[in-house]
Amino acid sequence: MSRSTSRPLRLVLASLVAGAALFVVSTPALANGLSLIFPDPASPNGHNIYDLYVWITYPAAVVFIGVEATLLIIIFRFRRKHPAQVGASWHGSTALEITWTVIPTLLIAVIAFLAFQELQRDFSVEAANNHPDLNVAVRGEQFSWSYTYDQGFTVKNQMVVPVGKMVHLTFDSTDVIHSWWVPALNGKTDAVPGYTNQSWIKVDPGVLGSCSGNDRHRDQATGGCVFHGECAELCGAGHYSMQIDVLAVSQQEFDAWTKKQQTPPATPKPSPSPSPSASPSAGPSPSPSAKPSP
Amino acid sequence: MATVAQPQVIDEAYERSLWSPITVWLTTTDHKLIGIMYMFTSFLAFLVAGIFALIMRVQLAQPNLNVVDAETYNQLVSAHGTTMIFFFVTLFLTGMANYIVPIMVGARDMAFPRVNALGFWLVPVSIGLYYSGFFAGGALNAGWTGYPPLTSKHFNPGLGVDFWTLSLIVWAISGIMASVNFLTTILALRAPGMTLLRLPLFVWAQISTSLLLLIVGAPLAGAMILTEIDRQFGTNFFTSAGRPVLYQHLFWFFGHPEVYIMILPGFGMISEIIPVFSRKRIFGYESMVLAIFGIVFLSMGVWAHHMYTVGLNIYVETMFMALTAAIAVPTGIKFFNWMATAWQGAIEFTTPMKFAFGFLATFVIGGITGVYLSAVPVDTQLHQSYYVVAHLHYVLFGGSVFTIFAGIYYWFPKWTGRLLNERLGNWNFWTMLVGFNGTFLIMHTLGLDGMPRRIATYAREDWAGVNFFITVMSFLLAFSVLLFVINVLYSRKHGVIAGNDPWDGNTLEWATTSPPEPYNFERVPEVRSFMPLRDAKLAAAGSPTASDH
Repeated sequence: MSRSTSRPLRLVLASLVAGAALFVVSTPALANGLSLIFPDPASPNGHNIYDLYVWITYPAAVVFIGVEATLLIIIFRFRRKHPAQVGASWHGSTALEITWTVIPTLLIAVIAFLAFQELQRDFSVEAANNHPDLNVAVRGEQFSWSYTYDQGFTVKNQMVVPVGKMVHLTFDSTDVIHSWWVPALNGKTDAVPGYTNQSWIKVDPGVLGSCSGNDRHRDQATGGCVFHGECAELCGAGHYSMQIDVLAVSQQEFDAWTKKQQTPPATPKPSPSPSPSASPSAGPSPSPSAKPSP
Repeated sequence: MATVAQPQVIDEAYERSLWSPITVWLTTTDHKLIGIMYMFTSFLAFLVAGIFALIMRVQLAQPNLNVVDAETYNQLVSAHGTTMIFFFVTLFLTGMANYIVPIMVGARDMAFPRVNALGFWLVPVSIGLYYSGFFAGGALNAGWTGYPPLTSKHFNPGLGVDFWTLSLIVWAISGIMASVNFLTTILALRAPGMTLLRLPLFVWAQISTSLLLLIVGAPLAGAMILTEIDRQFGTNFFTSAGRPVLYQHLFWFFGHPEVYIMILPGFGMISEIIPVFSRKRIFGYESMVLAIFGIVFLSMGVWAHHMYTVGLNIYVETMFMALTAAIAVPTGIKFFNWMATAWQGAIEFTTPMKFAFGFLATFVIGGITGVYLSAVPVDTQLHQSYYVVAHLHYVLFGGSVFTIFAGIYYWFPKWTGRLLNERLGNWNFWTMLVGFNGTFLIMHTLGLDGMPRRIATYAREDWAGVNFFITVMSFLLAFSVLLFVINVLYSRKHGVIAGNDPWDGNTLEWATTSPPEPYNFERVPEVRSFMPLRDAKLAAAGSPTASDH
C-alpha cells in the first residue's frame, strides 16, 4: 500500500522537478528576447499567419490540457488496490464514441476553413500581384541570394525595400533548391530551378520607429530596420551560411539608394524615374525578370 | 514449410539459444530467430544513429562551433535520419511482428519461411550499402529526403548518393517481401475460430502496416531508380532541366505513409498493453479497427503537406490540408479509446505500462503540433524549421520509440524466459521521459524564432542558451538508452524467471512457453474471441467468457 501511495508522489515530484528545470533554463532565453511564438510580424501576411497560429492555439490548448489532465486522473484514481482486483466490465459506448468523433471533426473543419481563408487572402497569385509598387526577382544560388529590381540593377547580400509599399517577389534558383525565409515578414517560399514562385511583402512603416527584436537591428546609415532570415532548404555544405537581410527604409531613402545603384554602372539616364508610386493601377505590372502565370 | 519439415535443426537452435553456432543463425528460417536478428541488427543501427545525434548536438551546443565541418555535419544529419527511419524503427517493428504475429494468430511459422529469411538477410546488405558511402569519400549529404538537384551528379559527384539509392532499393524489396509474408500469414494461417474480427489489435496494426508498405514501397524504389538513372545516364527526370518537384511527390507518396508504417504497430502494442495492465477489456474494439483503416486510407492522400512551399496551387494545397487535418480524427478516436480502456481499470504501473502512458502523454503533443503544421499558412512559417524537428521527434520518439520500449519490456520475458529488471526499467523510463521532453520540447520555440533545421552552425547568440540546454538533455536521453542496454545484458542472465504468462495476458503468445518451442504450440488452441487466453482462464475458473464475436 505504501508503495502505491508513494509512486504518484514520486511522479508529481519528478514532473515538478522537470518543469522547474525547464523553466529555470528557459527563462534567461526568454528574457533574452527569444519569442514564444513568432518574432513580431512586420508585414500584413506575417500578421495574418501569426493570428491564425494564435487561433489554432485555443482548441489545441483545450485538447492538450484535457488529455494530460485525464491521464493524471487515471494514474491517480485507477490503480490496482489489491492483487485480485479487476477493472470495470464496460467496454463501449456509442454515444461517447460519436461525441469524440464529431467534436474533433468540427474543430478540424473550422481550423481548415480559417486556414483556407488566409490562403485565399495572402497566398493566391492574385494577392501577390495586387498592384505592386515594386517588383524584385529573388534568385538563390549556392550560397548567396541576389535581388534584381524593376530598374534593372541587381544587388547581393541585402535586399532594400521601401516601407508601406507592396513589394512583389519572384523566386527562382540557378542550381539547387533554396528556400527564402524571413520569419518577421512572411512564411517561406522555395526557390526552385526551372520555374518561378511568387510571394509579396509590405513592411509596416512602424518599423522605422520601433525596430527591436533579436531577428532585426537598426541600420544607422539610413535609419531603416534590417530583418534577418536564413535559407531554409538544405542546399549543400554552405547551407548554414546562406543568410538573408532585408533592409526596410523610408521612400526617400529608398529613392536615394536606387539612384546610387543605378549610377555606378554608368547608365546615363537623365531622369532616373523610379516612379514606383506611379505604377499602373489597371492591369498587371510588367515584371522584367519573371512572368507571373496566373 | 521448410521449418516444419526439419524440426530437429530448429530444436538445436533453441537448445543453445543466442550463443549457438553462427551456422544456426545463418541458416534459420524460424520466424522467432529471424525476429530476434531483425531486432538485434536494427538496435545496433539505433545506437549508431544515436551517437551521430550526440555529435550533432555537441556541434550545436554553442554558436559558430567547428567540432565537425559543415560537409561532415550534413552527412551526419542524413545518416541519422536514414538510419533511424529505415534501419531502426521500421525494421525493429518488423522484427517484433516477426516474432509475435505468427504466435498471436496461432500459426507455427510465417507463411513463407525462406522468403522471411531472405527478407531479413537483405537488411545487412541494405545497411552495408548505405554505410559504404562513409568509406568511399563521403555518404549521402542531402538529408534523408535527398532532394534533387542537390543529389544530381553535377552537385554531388561522390559515391555517397549512389550507395544511398541502392541501399533504399534493396530496403524496399526487403520490406515488400516482409509485407507479403505478413499478409499471407495473417490471412491464411490463423488458428481455428480466429475470424478477422477476433484478431488481436496488434495483428490488425500489422495488416495495415504491411498493406501500406506494399503500396508505397514501389514508388520509393521508383524515385531511387530514376535518381540513379539521372546520375548515371544523364537523363533529366529530376534535374534542373526536368522536374525536381516530381521527385518530392514520389518520395513523399512513400514518405508520409512511412510515418504510419512506423507508428501503427506501436498503436497496436499500446492496444495490447493497456487492457492487460488495466485488467479491463479494450474500449471499442471495432472502432479501433476502423480507425486504423481510416488512418491507412487518409495517409495516402496527404503527401503534399511536405510541399506547401514549393508553389502548388492553393486549392490543391487546401485539399491536402483538409485530408491531413482529418487524420487527427481517427487518431483521436484511438486516443480516447485507450483512455476509456484505462478508465475504471485496475491499473498496475509496470514498466511496459509506464512506457505506454509516457507514449500517451508525449504523443498527444506531436498530434497537436501536426494540426498546426497541416494549416498551410502556418506551415509556411514552421516548415523546415526546428519546430518540425521537434514535431517529428514527438511523433517518432514519443510515438514509435516509446511504444517500442513498452513492447520490449512487455515481450522480453516471452523472448528470453526472463523479465527485465523493474528497478532499472523504472530509471530507464523516467530518464527517458525527462531527457526526451527536455531535448525536444523547447525546440518548438527555436523553430518559431527562425532557426532552420539542418544548419551546421548558427551565429545568433540568443539561440545559444536553449541549444546548450538541449545538448545537455540529449545526453540524459542517451543515458536512458544506456540503462536499457545494461538492463537487457543483466536480465538475460539474471532476470526473474518469467514463466509462460507473467502479465496475466489475453492473447495466444502467453499460452505457450517462454521462449516458445520451434513449433510454437503443442496443440493449436481454439479461439472464441480476440482474447483467447482470457477466455481459457475464465472458463477454467468457471466464469462466463468474454467472447461475443
